[in-house]
Amino acid sequence: MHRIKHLPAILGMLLLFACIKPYDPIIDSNAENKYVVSGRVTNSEGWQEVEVSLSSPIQSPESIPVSGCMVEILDDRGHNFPLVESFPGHYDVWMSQEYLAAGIAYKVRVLTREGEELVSEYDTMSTSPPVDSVYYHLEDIPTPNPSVTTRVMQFYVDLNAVGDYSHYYKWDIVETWEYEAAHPLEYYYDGTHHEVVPPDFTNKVCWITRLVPNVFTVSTMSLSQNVYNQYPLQAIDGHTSSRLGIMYSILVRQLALSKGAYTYWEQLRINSNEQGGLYEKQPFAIKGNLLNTSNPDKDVLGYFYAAAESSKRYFYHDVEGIDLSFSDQCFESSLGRFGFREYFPREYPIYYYYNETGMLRILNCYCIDCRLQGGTTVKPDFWP
Amino acid sequence: MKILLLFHLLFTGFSSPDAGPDTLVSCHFNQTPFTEFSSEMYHQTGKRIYYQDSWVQDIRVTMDEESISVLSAVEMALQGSNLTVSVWNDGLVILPGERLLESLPRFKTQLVSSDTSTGNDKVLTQSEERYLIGRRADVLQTLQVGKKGITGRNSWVTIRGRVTEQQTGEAVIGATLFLEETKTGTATDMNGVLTMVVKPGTYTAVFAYMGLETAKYFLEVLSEGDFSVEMKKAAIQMKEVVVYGDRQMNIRFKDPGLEKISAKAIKEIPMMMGERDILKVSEMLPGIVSVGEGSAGLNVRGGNYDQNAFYLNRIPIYNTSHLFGFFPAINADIVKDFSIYKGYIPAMFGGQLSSVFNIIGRQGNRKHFTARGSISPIAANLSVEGPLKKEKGSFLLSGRYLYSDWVLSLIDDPVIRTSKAGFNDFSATFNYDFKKSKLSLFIYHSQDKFKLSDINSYHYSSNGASVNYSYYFNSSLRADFSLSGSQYAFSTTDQQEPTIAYQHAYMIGDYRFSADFTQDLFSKNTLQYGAGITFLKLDRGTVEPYGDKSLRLPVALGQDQGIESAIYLSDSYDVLPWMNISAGFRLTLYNPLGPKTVYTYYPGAPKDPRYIQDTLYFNDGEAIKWDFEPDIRAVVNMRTDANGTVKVSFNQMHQNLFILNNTIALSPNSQWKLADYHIPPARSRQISAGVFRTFPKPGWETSLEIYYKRTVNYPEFIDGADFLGNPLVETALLPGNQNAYGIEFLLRRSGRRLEGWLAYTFSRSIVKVDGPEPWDRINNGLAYPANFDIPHVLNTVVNYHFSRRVTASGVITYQSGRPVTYPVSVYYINGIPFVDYSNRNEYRIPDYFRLDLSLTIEANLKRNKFLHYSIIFNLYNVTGRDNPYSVYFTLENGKIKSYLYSVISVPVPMVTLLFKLGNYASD
Repeated sequence: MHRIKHLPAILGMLLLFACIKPYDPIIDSNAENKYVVSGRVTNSEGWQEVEVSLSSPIQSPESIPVSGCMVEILDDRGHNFPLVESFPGHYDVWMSQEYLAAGIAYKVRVLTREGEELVSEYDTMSTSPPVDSVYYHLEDIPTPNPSVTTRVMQFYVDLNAVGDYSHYYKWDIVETWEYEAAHPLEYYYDGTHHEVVPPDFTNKVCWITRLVPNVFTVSTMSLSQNVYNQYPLQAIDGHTSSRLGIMYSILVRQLALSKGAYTYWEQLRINSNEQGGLYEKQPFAIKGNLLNTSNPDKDVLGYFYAAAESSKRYFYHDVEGIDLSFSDQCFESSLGRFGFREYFPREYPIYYYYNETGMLRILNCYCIDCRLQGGTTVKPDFWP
Repeated sequence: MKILLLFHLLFTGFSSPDAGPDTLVSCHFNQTPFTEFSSEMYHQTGKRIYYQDSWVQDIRVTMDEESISVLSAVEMALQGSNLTVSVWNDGLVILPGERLLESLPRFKTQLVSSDTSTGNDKVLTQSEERYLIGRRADVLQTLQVGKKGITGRNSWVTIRGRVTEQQTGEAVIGATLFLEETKTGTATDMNGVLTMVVKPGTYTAVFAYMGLETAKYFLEVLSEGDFSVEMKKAAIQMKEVVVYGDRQMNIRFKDPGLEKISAKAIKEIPMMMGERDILKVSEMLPGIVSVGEGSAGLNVRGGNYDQNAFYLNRIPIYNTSHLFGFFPAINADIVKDFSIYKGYIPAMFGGQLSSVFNIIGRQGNRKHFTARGSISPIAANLSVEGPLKKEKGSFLLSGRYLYSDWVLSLIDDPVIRTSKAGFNDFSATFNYDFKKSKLSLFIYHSQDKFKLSDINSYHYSSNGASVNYSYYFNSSLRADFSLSGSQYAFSTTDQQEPTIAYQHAYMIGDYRFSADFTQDLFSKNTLQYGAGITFLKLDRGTVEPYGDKSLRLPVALGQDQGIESAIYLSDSYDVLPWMNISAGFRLTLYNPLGPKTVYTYYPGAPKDPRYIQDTLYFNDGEAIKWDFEPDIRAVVNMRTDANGTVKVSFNQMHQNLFILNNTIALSPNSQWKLADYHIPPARSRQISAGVFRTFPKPGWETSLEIYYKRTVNYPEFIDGADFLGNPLVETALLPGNQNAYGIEFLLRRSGRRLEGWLAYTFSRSIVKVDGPEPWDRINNGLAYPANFDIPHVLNTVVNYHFSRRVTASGVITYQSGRPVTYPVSVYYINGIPFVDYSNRNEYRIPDYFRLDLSLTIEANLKRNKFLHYSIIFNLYNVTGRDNPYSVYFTLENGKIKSYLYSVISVPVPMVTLLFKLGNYASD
């Protein structure tokens, strides 16, 4: 969120002497895999999820799910809600509205297959005002080349929590966008020529939905009002992805947190984003709110918290002022001198089409299947 | 291993000291023939005495001395004859009439002056004098002190001398006087005055100072009295890249861990911005390191960057650099004497734990007006000096200015183009000598402005003034009174995000008075005592909202006041001719003062606002606590032979003022904080031992020192400490223990065409914060390397003088990478990876290596000309190596990426023009 945090880096850039380059340090770590428990209870009726996994060494990062745990959420009113493993490492339970209210504290208890018990502290549900407003500004941000800037859509959110609301917030942004493959499936060759009539459009239009992988947290404790204007969220451009090609949508989930949960996420945010400068704080190992009661010396990573949620969805298309020049990874080529005989059977099927001038053009698979870029052809319910 | 071997060699070199001319013998003779006496001397000392039998056949020796040097014994034996004894190689030579000289004396042009002597009975005309001097080329000039017939031959008298530079009339600070006969010495004080207690007689006196020609005189002491000596700039420039003292000084100086740097060394060492930076030069010496470019802080012997005290003409300097450490805050043109104490710290200094950087400015030319300065593409400086009254008083004004904005405006980035960076500084000094006293006044101002477009801006400034008055009661008692006031202030504005935009101003004031007395009790004993009082006032300021849109609540960070009252006594005593002991005691009383509101916390609970038990109110000026801080300082200095000394010291220090900073580098907006109700003063003890040797081959010298330092109650910062939003500092600090130890090795060659030095330091600094409760621990109570724990440092400085006008210099710096906390594992929450960090400072960033070159070209060396200039070409980081400043990890598009950040990653060229009115001179 802080675009320019590294003062001496700037000073160095002023003098054009500084340099930041990718670097892979050799970290010879024999750190053991630690349990990671994360999850939250939100204040609206529905599925409450808890993930149990193991940390992985920095050299080979992967999420290692932990299956076969007994997981339950407990509240401070004496109820407990056993969770069921829906897929490896993911546990969930449907909680109805009567158990979800401000002032109730929740904790999670995990019993692993090895018999270790991981228990979180209680975290109390607070209250969240509705999402106030989300908007964007077109901004030019520096690139590694000092004479070139990139035009981006910088999103902002305003918080208006005047009233009996929490002072601590986290925003999760779920982004969805529609994009298209360049061509429908019409002609292909796999030893013989095929023509699909009518052309198959099923894999032409896709949608990608994902969580914006940044931590956005704010506290209004040091402010005179429980208000925060123009909190910067993500920035997107028209070059590095197809987000702005057809239509872009964000779901802003505003989560009101307790102080403990806020502190945890704020520390994660600082550790993830604000490092490297001369005058930055040093990173450090962050402690969550879980304890391994069977083996108190073993750290448990992650945080279990209660969050009051309010959310709002926004759609954007044809944004003026943004140049679109992203690649859809579709490349076409001419047929070689020896025609289709140049292709080995293991390369089949070979897709092609006839362009406006009637020329036969060979297509790669990205041109006719949008799913290869990571999306799904199932249109989301909320999509207009 | 090799280091140990070397240490062993150095030591064994001393274990059988050569029988020098001052080897002690016991003499009991009654009417003994001289030949018998001489063979007895040879028997006792192994020292041969050369003479012709016919000269001594009439001499009968009668003597009853238990402990007398062989030289004195022979002198005594020869009393009444016309024979003299001289030291020659390993033996003694007896010759009729004149003494044999160890080296050829230099030709003296100036007349020998003697202020109060009345024995001017043989007045010569100038031509007669010139004739005699010309004829007697190997005869030394005689300085006569006192009046004849006042004092008996065996009573001790105190003589006082004033040493000035011939060319400018300025006092020479730290010049040494060495009497060859008694093998005793002394050095001039900050007013260029020395005192010594001797028996009346004639001595061979050697005056020496780096950069000046060594002057040798016969010193004829008749009674108490004064004399003055002028020393010439050394004509041969090769001599002058000397870091501390000269050969003699190196051997004789009494404090282990004292480094001195000459102005000439500062000029020739390549510098990044072309600015001569005395602090960067000090980093080339063993035991002093910096964590990298863009950091103003120095780490001395494993101490944090706030453990060094900087004094400029006795004004404490709280910010020693301009623009984030890229430029020095102290103009090298005004520096006369720069000493670093890091082992034994004299009892007159209190304050910080690790070191004292004592900088004494030049007084200005006392004979005529002159000016000097330098110009580079981004900065310029000028100083003007001259007499207030000829020979009696002088002034020196200097100023500097940075005009680098034109560079920024060339850059095609809107943020940079609209940024501004600038600094300026100014100093003025006036001094005047009265009949029995000296008065000097010094004023200092420095300020920096830095504005990064509309995002944030920094402004910081230092102001200070001091009045120093020295009074000479009589030739054996001197007093120095010093009154100083200094202020350091900064203000920051941050408007990057309108809602939380803020401004913050901070100020620290430091007001001191001290009285220091130096008293020569008798020939071998010098007493120093005094008292001082320091009043410190800190206003940590208020973090206030900035701009209409800011919703920030003002946070008052509070104010601190404190008073330090100190008395001290120290004595330097030549116990034996080859052994000096200096020991001192300093007692400081530190009182944090009200007005103050202090929260107390429940015992057994963390210091956290949630656990406040009670509130205490202290009135204005009321003492919150009484901290008595006794310090013992001692050093034993032993001369093992003509070429070496061994030094052992013990040093205790206390510190009441700390920097609140949990970042790696020292930033200009670091807040100082006084020890208070909750934060105890830190204290340290250091033991060090050193061996210093000069080699028989001229120009080579070496030293090896080891030390161990333990510091307790040094404030360490808890993980993620915040000092901008939190007025309750005690909630973010824990008292820690530091253990530091190391070996420092220096090998230097000077006075030759190829000269320079090699300094290697091995050192460690380990911190442990292990309180009784889990929340009183950092890193789970395990020891961890300090942020500036840099085990291996190797610095090589080489100067090659092609001619007297052209010098090429190179610097090679190697440092182990500093410790860093690395991520060791990855975990995922909602598909987003996060990293889990190792124990504090468990890993290290890559090593640091840098090569710098410079070429200094002097204009012609004619003695009489209006303007002299020199051009210095600098190339910093010649290899363009991306020296790591930090390695960091960041989350980008859902992936963890690691980066290496270098502050300087390309070769940086710079050219500087230095000029001065008048001819070429050694500084």
